[in-house]
Amino acid sequence: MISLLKYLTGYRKEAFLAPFFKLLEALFDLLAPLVVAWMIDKGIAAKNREVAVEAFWLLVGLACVGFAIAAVAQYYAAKVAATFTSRVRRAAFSRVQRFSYSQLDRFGSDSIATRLGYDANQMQTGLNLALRLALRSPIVVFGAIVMSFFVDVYGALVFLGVFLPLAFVVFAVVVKSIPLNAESQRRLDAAALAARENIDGLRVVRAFNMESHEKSRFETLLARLYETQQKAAVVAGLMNPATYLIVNLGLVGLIYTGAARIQIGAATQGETVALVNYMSQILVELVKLANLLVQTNRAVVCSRRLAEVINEPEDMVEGTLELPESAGPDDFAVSFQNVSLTYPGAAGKALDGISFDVKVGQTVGIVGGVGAGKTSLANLIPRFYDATEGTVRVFGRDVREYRFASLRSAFGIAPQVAELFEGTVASNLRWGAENATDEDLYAALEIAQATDFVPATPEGLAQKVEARGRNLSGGQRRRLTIARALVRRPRVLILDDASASLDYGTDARLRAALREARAGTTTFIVAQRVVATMDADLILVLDEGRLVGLGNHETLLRENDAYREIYNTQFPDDEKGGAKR
Amino acid sequence: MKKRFPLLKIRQSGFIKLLLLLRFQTFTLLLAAALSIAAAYATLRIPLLVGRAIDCLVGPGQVDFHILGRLSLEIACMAAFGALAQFNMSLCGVVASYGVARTVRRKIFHKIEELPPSYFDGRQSGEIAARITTDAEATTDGLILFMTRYLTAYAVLFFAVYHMTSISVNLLAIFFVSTPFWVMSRRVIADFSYEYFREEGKARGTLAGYSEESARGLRVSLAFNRAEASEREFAALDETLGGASFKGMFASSLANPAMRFVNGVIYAIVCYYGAATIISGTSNNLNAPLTVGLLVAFLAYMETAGKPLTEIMEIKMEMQRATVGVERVFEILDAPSEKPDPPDAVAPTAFEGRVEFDDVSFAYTPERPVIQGFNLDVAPGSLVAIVGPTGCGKTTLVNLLMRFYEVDSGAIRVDGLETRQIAREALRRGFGMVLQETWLKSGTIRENLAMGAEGISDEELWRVARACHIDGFIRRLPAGLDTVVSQEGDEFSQGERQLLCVARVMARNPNVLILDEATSSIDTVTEMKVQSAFNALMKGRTSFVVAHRLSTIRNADVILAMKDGAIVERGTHDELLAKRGFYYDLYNSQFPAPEAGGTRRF
Repeated sequence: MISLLKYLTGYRKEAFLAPFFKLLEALFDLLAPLVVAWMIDKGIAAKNREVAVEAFWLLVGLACVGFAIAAVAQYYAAKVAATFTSRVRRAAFSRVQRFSYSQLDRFGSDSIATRLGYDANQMQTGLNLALRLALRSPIVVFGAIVMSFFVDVYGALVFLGVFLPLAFVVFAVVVKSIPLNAESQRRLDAAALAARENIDGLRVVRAFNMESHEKSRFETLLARLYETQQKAAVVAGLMNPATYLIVNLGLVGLIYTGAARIQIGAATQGETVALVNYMSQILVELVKLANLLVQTNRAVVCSRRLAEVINEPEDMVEGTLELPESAGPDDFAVSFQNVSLTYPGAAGKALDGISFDVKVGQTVGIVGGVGAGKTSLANLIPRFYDATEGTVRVFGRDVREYRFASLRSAFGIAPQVAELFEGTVASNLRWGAENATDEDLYAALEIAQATDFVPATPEGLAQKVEARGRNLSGGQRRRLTIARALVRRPRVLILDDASASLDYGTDARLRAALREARAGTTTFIVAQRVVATMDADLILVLDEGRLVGLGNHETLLRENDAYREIYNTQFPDDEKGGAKR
Repeated sequence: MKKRFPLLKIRQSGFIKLLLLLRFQTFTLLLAAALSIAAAYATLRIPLLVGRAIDCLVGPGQVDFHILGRLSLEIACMAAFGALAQFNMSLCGVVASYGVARTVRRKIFHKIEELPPSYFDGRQSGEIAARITTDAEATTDGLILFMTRYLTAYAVLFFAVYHMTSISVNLLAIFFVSTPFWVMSRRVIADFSYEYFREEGKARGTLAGYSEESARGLRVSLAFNRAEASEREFAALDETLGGASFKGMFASSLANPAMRFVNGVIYAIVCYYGAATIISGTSNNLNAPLTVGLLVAFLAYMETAGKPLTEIMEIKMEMQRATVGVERVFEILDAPSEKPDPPDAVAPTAFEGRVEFDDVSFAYTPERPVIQGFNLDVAPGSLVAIVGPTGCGKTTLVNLLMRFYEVDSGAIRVDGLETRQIAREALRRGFGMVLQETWLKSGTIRENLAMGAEGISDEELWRVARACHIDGFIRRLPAGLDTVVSQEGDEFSQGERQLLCVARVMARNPNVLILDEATSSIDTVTEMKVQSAFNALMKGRTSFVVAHRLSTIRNADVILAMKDGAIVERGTHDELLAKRGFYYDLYNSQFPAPEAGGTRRF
């Protein structure tokens, strides 16, 4: 969390002024009881009206100055809190933009969104509150004690006697409460999750007659919640009565000491009144401080979660080279040398000892069952993950030698999950190529077979796309993500399961159009359907992370059992493998 | 006017219902209320006692230690009594409030399990879950606020004013004259900051939406080098939010200093007037002559009386939140549950598997009938396939069979028994269902597989896992069967999740099997393997297979081709292909057509 302090740069002055003015305000607050004491002793006791008038103006003056100073302090507090939060939020956002895929896996998109939203807000509120109150309360408390020494040393001793148990109670309660409150929140979240889960899986829960089982599971969650909530509340409930009792016993002590001192003429009535006032100020401020600690604790937790994002170290070192401008048809566009990949925390290898070479302009099919490692393999090429072993080369060099932006600018990718963004068709298509002309977009829509729902016209491009592409069907989203990849005019095109939600006719037309348009483009097609990769120059057959077949369709069908098995499940009647290219 | 009395509104709507719901807690709440009044009494007596004590401290040699001792003792007793009452009040409050929350939450959850699935159509699960968290909390907070803090505030105000009256009516008049300024200053600032808060809320919403979308699309963003463009967009939104936040925070944080200022001025006035009264020795006829101690006590009461005024305002706002919470809680609690099973419902332990649809009609919404006059007779042990384009009503048949929805007219019979006469639990026990949505409960793999088959042994689970070809996958997981599946779970692919769902049903060993697009996200090799497992499972059992991929249903006893809620064709695969009708077209659209260079030899 301390690492975040650097975001105060340039606002150090304000960050200092806010508490400084708070300090001034507190000092003025401490003067009021002295004025009252003076009025009692020199005004009332001496029957001097002048003093009372002066005291009146003094008190009004103190109120005015106090307000002015407080306004300045609040101004700086708000300024610092808003600016600081804004900077931290932006820093977190840019850090996230440069996360590697494994970091994204680890943090998860929900958690990232929460950190940028809720956590940042909590931090802002907490910081603002802390700047306003964190200094004020201790200053008033200690100020009151110090002032009491000026007023009367014996009375001040009573103060010390009260202050210590008081502070002990307040902080004991706070220290106890914070973890209990956090635990309550966790347990409440667990209960909410159970409810959501039961609604999302409603039909399954009913079909499996799990209702009573779920009810009793929820009951356990509720009981656990109730238990911590109750504990937390009992602890918190101790604070007011205990502090109240201590302060009032202190008052009795004060009055007795005061009485003894007045009796021998060592103190005055006004002074005792001042001490009584200080005593109640201490109570008020300590309670405020306790509440503040509870509130800022949440902010501290939230700011830690933001710091975690910002301070997340780069797990992939960026290279320095630019991608070579041109490559001849005999150069290798992509080559894998004995590549293995193990995801962090996973027990087994996702990819195991993969080697192959792809020439510029070739089309490569990647086939295999669920969990065979098709997408993992595709993700290594633009260096979304680093291979755990072996080397991935793109255009002749290890991918680790290139600058990220330079390397990735060569790729057009239609990922497995067709993710679109709120805006228009055009804004989505221009994602990877901000300067693409409308004609470029039309061409991409044509190839992607998307013109049946997005006409290649300005109106078509202006069609609204809702968040996540909700207003489009799966197949439509899929085609738009393919068009988006094409708009970049990539040197390497990766279509991950692109045909999954398309019917066979559209899929066939799409591939024909791609074949025509992508002369010179190296293309990777990840597919479940054999038919989607049958005409590829090279087919990689993956099984549980291993490369079990490598060759074109005819060779594989002839020589490779794994490929033949996949083929036969999709063309059950075609035992002899007679499908023609 | 109504808006100003949120209490009345609560009483009209859910408040009474709520109290009836909480019989035991009501008593505790009343006790808490009584204790809060007692605590207020004790607390408010102390300043007066302190004031009187101060009056004993006149000057050297004049202190009356006898009276002082008595007063001190009384202060200590009152403090002890007040502290005790306060503590007990908060204990009662705790027991009652968390008890209320618990009851409300339990009732809502039970309701969730009892509502007909149609209730949840078009509702977000998060929104309903919020009733268990936020709304239940707001409801209980409202109750507690009302029973303790609200009453305490009024009690404190009452006792404070009572004591102030007894000290000096004149000073009280000054206090009352100045309160409007005090309320006004607060109002002005509240109105002022409200505008900024609204702006801030809007900016915050926009930014949250943007971050959410952008967080979800980060992988795409990385692939497309979008970082800088996104940062620019985010910075613009952030700029707006930062500005609005600053204004909102600044405006609202002026409230406390402004109040302190007004308080300070009132304090000064009362001080001066009090001092002048004491000096001149004048007095009204209603009160005893003012003394220094009484003035100090009055000043203390003034501060105590100020607090409940703020509190009452705050509580009123909170109560509005509570009213909304109560309404939302009762909205779900008052929704009609699934009709209970009739008392004479039968609960067969097993089904032979004859299923008849007799003139069944059904519509989700009256304007749009989904199924009309549907007839079908399925012999035990046969395989029925249902095919057709999206939205043709395939899944509806499943919903009706499982009685997630009730037919509008006609009847569905299983083994000759109308399904409405069969206890839901027995019906559903006999039916195994695999859906397209691959919902897993959060818990271990073991818990998920054993979901419908309690007490199943690990050996048995592994046998099922082998049959579904997920034994290798489970073995590779870090903790095998004990690996935890999380709700958001990105850790498993769709295919893996679906295989788990298949295994879950296999473990249950149902009489009738329903597969609703069950293999749509499994690759064909695995599908073949699972299919063989299914074939083994389906042997001798009636099975309904809703399929998108037609390759899987060629050996069905009867294929129903559905379109717009009606069966347009029925027959075996070969019969329907020979017809060259709807099914023929559907089939060809799914298999490589000649121009794509695929096979045409069916």
